[in-house]
Amino acid sequence: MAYLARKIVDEFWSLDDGVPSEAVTVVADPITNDMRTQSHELSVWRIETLNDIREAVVALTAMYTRLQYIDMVAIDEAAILSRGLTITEELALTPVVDLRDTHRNISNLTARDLGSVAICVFDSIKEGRVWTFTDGEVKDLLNEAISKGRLDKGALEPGVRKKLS
Amino acid sequence: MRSKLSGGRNRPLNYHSLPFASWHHSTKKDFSTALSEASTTDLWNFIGEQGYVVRQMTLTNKLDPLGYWHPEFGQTLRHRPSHRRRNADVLREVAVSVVDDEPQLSREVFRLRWDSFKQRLLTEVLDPGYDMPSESQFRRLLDNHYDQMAQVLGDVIGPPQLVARIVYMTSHFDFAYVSAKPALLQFVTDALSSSRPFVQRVAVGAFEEWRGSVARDALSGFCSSAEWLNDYVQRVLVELEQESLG
Repeated sequence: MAYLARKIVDEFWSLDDGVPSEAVTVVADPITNDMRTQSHELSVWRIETLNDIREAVVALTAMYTRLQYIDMVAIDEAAILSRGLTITEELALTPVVDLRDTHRNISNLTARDLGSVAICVFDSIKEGRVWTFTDGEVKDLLNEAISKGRLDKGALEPGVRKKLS
Repeated sequence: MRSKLSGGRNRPLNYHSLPFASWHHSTKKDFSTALSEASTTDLWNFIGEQGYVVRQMTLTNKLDPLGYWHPEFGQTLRHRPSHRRRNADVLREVAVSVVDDEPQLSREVFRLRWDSFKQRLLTEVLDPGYDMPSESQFRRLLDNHYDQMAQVLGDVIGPPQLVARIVYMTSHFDFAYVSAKPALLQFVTDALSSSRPFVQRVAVGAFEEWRGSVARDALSGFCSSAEWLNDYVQRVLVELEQESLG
């Protein structure tokens, strides 16, 4: 079973109690603030297993301008497809070269589709497929990627680079 | 709405296209010249482009910050011909305060700028890992008007999202800078005790950024209604402890 990993901003997803309430599924803030599309597409990272969520974290935080924490959610890919949504491949700009082809877009989105994706995100959170990585954990993951030769430290933004060992 | 207030003309709000805005690429003297020659509409557009015009401004005086500033002018900002000159003077004063950042803003002008800043801030998304567009403006306010900022920070009334954004921007400043501004540090420290976990989370992130004994002391007694956040802080404390051991 594959998943689509996406960074979320917890402020908008009512993670206050660990799980969002059902009522939250109909509010607009997460959609208007944390699901901003470009060219009717929403960016995600395809991972084969939940353990691979770290790969998505590396891909994303390698593009950060500051080394900071990150919240991630893993959406069931089958749930997206079952709603008739389209997933397309697009090479990402992450400096982690071997992860560039794991990037996907949920494409051709309409307003209604966006609501469907939001519900998938909520379902993922409710089912516990949400993770939070501390600054230190992000730092460790990036350092590991560098030490394994997957990531060129020079390709990182200065604000991140200066905090790595 | 703004076009009505600036004379009813629908003018593109690209200040680079305005002759008046040449200050941006020239000297302050040029700016002063441009200022003296600017039309009221130019001034109004310029201030708006700098983000200092209240978005929710209406045709009623109630939400008109300039009306508050100069209440005796009433509706003159709608370009009543008899008040046109006085309008321009008021707007010129605002434009100068926007550009000069002079340390001694009147209470009214500071309030205008702070209110505008808050509204602008709430339209921005707090996206960890990235700066917020308003950070440089926030820094300028702190650098140039700290005494006035200290007062409003001690009395921030607004949605928790506002608190979270202020704390988030503060987390990007060096601790030496923040500790030299006690009201700012207190603001972040207070946010650790917020009733909203997402505010607490951002405050935790600030101390994570600063690290060291400051972070350990601040986070050691942390308590949240959100268990995941308590767990998170424990992981941070473990990281900090390991760092302290070398």
